[in-house]
Amino acid sequence: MLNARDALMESSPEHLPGQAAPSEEAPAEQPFERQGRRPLAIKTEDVHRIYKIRKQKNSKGEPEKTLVALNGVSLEVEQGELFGLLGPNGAGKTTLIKILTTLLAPSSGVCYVDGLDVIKQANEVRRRISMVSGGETSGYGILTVRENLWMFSQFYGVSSKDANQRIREMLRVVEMEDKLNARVSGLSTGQRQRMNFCRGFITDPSVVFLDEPTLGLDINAARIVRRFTREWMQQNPGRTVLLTTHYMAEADELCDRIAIIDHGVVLACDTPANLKRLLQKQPVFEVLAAGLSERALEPLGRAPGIVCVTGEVQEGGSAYKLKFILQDEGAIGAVVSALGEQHGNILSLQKNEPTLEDVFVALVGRSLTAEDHEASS
Amino acid sequence: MMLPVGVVRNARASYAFFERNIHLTKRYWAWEAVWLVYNLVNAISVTYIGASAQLITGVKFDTSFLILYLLIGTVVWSYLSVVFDQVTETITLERWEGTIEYTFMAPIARLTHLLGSCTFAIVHGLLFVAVQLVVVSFFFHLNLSHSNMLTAAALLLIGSVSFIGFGITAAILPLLYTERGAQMAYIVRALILLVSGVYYPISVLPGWMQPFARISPATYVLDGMRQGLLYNQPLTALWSDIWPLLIAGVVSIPAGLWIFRSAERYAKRTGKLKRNG
Repeated sequence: MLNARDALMESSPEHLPGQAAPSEEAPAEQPFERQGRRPLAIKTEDVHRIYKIRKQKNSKGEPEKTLVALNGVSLEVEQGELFGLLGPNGAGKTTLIKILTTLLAPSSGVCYVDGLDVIKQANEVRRRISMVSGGETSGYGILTVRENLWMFSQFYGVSSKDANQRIREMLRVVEMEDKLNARVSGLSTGQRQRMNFCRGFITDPSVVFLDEPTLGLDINAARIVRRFTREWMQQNPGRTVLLTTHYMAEADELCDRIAIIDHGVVLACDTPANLKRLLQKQPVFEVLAAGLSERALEPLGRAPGIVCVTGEVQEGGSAYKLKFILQDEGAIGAVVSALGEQHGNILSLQKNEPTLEDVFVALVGRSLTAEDHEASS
Repeated sequence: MMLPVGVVRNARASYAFFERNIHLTKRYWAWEAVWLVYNLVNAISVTYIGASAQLITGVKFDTSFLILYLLIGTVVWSYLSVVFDQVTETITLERWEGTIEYTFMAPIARLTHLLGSCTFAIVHGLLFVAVQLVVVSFFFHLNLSHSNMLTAAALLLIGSVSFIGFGITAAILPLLYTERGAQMAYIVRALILLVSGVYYPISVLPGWMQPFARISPATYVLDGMRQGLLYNQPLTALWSDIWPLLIAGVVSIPAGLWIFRSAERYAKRTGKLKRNG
């Protein structure tokens, strides 16, 4: 039986979609300028990051333990791209961002931002970048919004006049003009996040790293952040954004290309449309069935023609919502038979066009679970 | 003449740290008041040991010398503590407020970061000490007519430079030990208190502690200030106290910065550049 992930890999060229094939690599003397194509804003080459959890044998004689956060990540992001990094908790997204923002050293491999080595030319890299992390409440609580933002603007050499102007403008964009002189400790979580969002952009960076920037924001605030990011990219064509997110819809809406990462490995990298097109060869059906138990999922997954099946209990516990990824449409018969064998009563059946989440499920083997969603909210 | 852009940018960034600390001090005024009262009570209590020496020993002698001797110790120690604490808390504060990542990824030299914080520490310390001296003078009838205030001030400022270097070195503790590093820095401060002759001449220390006294810059600051305030010695007569402080200043700040940068590289390798919690 063909595994979904293998199917995607087989349909791709030897390199992952979106990555440069060896024949396309620029001449060595100008690795980031590429004839006919936009230069690279971000480039990682076989990056590994390993954490030592236990340095030496413990009293029980258990050996040194390590955690592999990144396992050979190679990515290229062009200037002017809004690039997404999708993955579950613990996939390595934040680790990669920390390396690219010079806060963490890779165990091996090389990373470049704007053509500069993030280790050897860290200070030059820092002049060109900024980062906004989501779900955080950082900021000097006892200082005002203006004092916090002004201080960080000075670190990047922004003149006082420009800084004050940009602060006002950014606060207007995020609808917080009235909070200019409010203490940060008096802001809500969402307002603090919006303030940090402003901090990330008032320095006018070339490359912005957004690590789940809408985490913890209400719908309106998240909409404001996404709209601003889109408009900023349109108004500044040479600028680059690398965005990590849990929200498939956000990635689908915003990103020019997306890399899906799990357990430190990039599983796929392409435009949202191409990623979905890869999966279109494998039809997806959604079935609402009653009378099933959780044990029925495994035998369902073994039925012929079924690549992958996931299930969620519906409210009330009386029915399962099942998502089947099939080898071809003809396998729907096998689905119906298999459900019958498991004493399932089909309440509804519909064919889904693949979504980014389907691609994610096919590659990672599971959806973003409720646990991930709770952790991210 | 226009200054190079880099110098202007770093000066501006340094001032941003200085201004941040001014705002924090103003807003945390209650904590400043508590700390001032604590130091005042400490200074007055220790100085009363001098005032009560005749009663304690039963021997008659001029206690004003002992009072001033002890007062110099408490004031200098108070100043050095404030400076040392401000410098070592540079990292702790960033972790606590969740800004450590943003500060460490800003394009500023570590010297710029520390210079802004250290400059504030010195100014803050001097103001602290000035208030203490004014208050304590109401409790004791101090006769400073034969004291060389210029000598005392100069020794204090020269000694500040080397103490900043020690503080920068101690600041690696909160950098490397995310949860308890700030508390570990107190051990460094306590050891300096023990060996530097704050309340007693270093000659009373056991032989094995004497070398440690000789390498503490506080030893020379205290000795030099006592020479100036108790014996009216001019600065030019105190070369034996000044040259160790100059060497300590010249060595401790570059050494402290080198140690700090090494610790920062280690923190980057091991993933310790993160906020608390």
